Amino acid sequence: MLPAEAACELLGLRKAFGTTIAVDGLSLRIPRGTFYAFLGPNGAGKTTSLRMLAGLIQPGGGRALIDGFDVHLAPERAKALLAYVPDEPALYGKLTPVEFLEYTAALWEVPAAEARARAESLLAKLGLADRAGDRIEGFSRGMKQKVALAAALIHRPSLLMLDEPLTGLDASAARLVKDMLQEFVAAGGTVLLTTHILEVAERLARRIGIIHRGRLLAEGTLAELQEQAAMPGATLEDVFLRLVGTTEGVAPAPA
Amino acid sequence: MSRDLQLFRRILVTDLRIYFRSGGKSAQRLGGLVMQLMMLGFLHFPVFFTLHAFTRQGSARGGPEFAVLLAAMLILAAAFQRSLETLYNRGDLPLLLSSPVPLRVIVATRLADIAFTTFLGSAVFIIPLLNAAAVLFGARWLWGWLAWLAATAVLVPFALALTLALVHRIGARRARVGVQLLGIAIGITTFAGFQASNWMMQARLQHAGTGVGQSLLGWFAYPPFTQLANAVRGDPLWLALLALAGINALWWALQRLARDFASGAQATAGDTGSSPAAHRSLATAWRGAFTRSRWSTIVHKELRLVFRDPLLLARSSTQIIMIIPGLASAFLYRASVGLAGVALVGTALSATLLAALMTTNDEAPECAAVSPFPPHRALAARAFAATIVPALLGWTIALVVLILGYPLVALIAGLGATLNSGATAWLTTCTVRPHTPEERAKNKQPMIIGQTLFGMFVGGLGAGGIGLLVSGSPIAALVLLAIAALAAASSFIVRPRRTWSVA
Repeated sequence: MLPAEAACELLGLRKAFGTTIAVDGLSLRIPRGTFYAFLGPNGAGKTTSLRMLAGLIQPGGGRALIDGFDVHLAPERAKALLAYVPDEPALYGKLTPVEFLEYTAALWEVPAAEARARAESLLAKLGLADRAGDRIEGFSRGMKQKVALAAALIHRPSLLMLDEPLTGLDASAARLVKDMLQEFVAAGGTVLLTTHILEVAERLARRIGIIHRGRLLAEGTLAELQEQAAMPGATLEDVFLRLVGTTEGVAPAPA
Repeated sequence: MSRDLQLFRRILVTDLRIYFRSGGKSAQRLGGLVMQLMMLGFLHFPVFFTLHAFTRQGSARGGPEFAVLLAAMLILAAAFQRSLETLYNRGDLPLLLSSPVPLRVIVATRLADIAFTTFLGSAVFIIPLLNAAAVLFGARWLWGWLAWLAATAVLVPFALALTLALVHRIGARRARVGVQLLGIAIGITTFAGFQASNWMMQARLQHAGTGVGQSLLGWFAYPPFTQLANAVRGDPLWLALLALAGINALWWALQRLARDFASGAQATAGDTGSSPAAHRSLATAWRGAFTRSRWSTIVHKELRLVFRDPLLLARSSTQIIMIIPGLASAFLYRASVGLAGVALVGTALSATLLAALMTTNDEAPECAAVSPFPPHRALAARAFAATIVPALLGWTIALVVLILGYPLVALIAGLGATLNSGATAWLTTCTVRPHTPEERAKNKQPMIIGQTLFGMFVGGLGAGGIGLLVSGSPIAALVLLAIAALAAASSFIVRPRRTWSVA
């Protein structure tokens, strides 16, 4: 078991697809109750890491722990605590939001009465109450993202993992989702999200990890990252470009 | 080379590259090509023997006309399929339509693409027909290759025009379903056509001297089928007219379909897929929700996904419809044995297909995979859902057998159908993987050859056992039925080959 304050921990996680190494000995520890942003350029290994942590991909090596439970050795204990929202929402187009939430609640064994109350509350909060009876196939991408978020929250997970959750959302929907994530963290939950919108990470995340070519380049609070990049007071974008750009041969931002 | 021609060549090469690469990586494509060539070679045998039956019976009036009709329907089905893919499933149309490439070039490229791939798509059935006809009825049937090309040129513009009209009238999504259903109907008719000679021979056995087969084929010996058959036989007049019709049809399509093509492509891009039937009142939406058990909720979800998708429903029903010829044949001999045999074999095959469709069309396998619900239980729920309808069908047939006065046979048929459905559904669920979004968009068929053979094996053993029982050999029947039951039950020891979870 991990010390109680760790929501999840990656220990030397590795994954290769053929000769391409996607994740190369990634180690990371995310304290409970943290809003954690996982950043990196395209193809850095963010999604693969999240999918290994969610139990969707068998790691090539290393361990992924959720609240002390190994996702691959004790999957039922670990998965009971997590929710995962992929970048392309995994939904059934022929079901309605109510039916989809009912299905998700059944998978996590949420008692029926509690699940119904929670579904009503989540759909109302996300502005989907009047579309609860429509099939998801007719929804816009933003609405689908909201249904996926509702499904992720219906069983009250302690760790919420989101891959690019703000893609395709309009300004008001994005604000709503950001508020809900902050509420979730304020209530003691842990959020681990990947995003390319660095302003979001800068404003919301308490800790930030920057991954590149499957390895962790830097990790910490924004101030700690600024220190590592030797750029005190710089924006996250400048810090990110300097840390990643140095290895890419891109001219670093001025210190 | 003119600018239009250069653009045409470049876009067509890209189109065909996409078509050929859709078969997977190079090793997979090579394997697929070898399989298709083997299938092409193998199909020569049944087609040869089917046609050979007509040489022994002397001149079968209407036979060539019937074969020409079947071939035309196959070409039409392939043309519909390709037209639909071009309109609905190709992501490059917005790019092309927003580019300065002239519309006539885009339409010409698409027409050439559809015509060429339709020609290839119908080859697997038509080449054996033409070759067998040339061997059995004379070399003049080799003119059929030219007629095949001309018929493709006639039918492709027709299929494209009809698809565009459907998109215009009922919307892209429903047009897609409509065209798929049409393709299935044509497939079933073709299947029935290939079975026709068997039924006619059985009918002849039952009604010797009545000439039932002759009269059935005679229905087709009328224009324009006669003229088409003449063209395939190499009659210069009708072959030339068919070729001329093909050139005219392509020219007409190039001149007249360009604008409809663009609006059709835009309609498909803008169609969200929602329909009035997809909207329900809020009261209805919440009625009965969150009241079922965990298992029941998951089984319900599987059944809802099939019953709400017309395409999946049609494909599942196809297997059941395919049983109808079996049922018809069964009545020709001993109804009790025939019907019970159909129950045992047919339900196993239906459950196989249903389980395969449920698995390959799973849009969100990640949902169950990231949950604490054990993967083997999720698969068991799916297998159970795939068993329900075939098992009910089996018990319905068993009821008919009971009414015919064979209670023991009825009981064996009902129990056997349930066991076979469950066994094949479980085997298929464990051994088929969910398709990727790209594969689902192309409506890729599930690969279930082994599972289907297993269903036929256990069903066939059971049917043999029932035959022995009715013919008065109870010991041998018991042995055969026990072997069938054990073989079916053995599938339950199969563990999932691959799941989205690593548990």
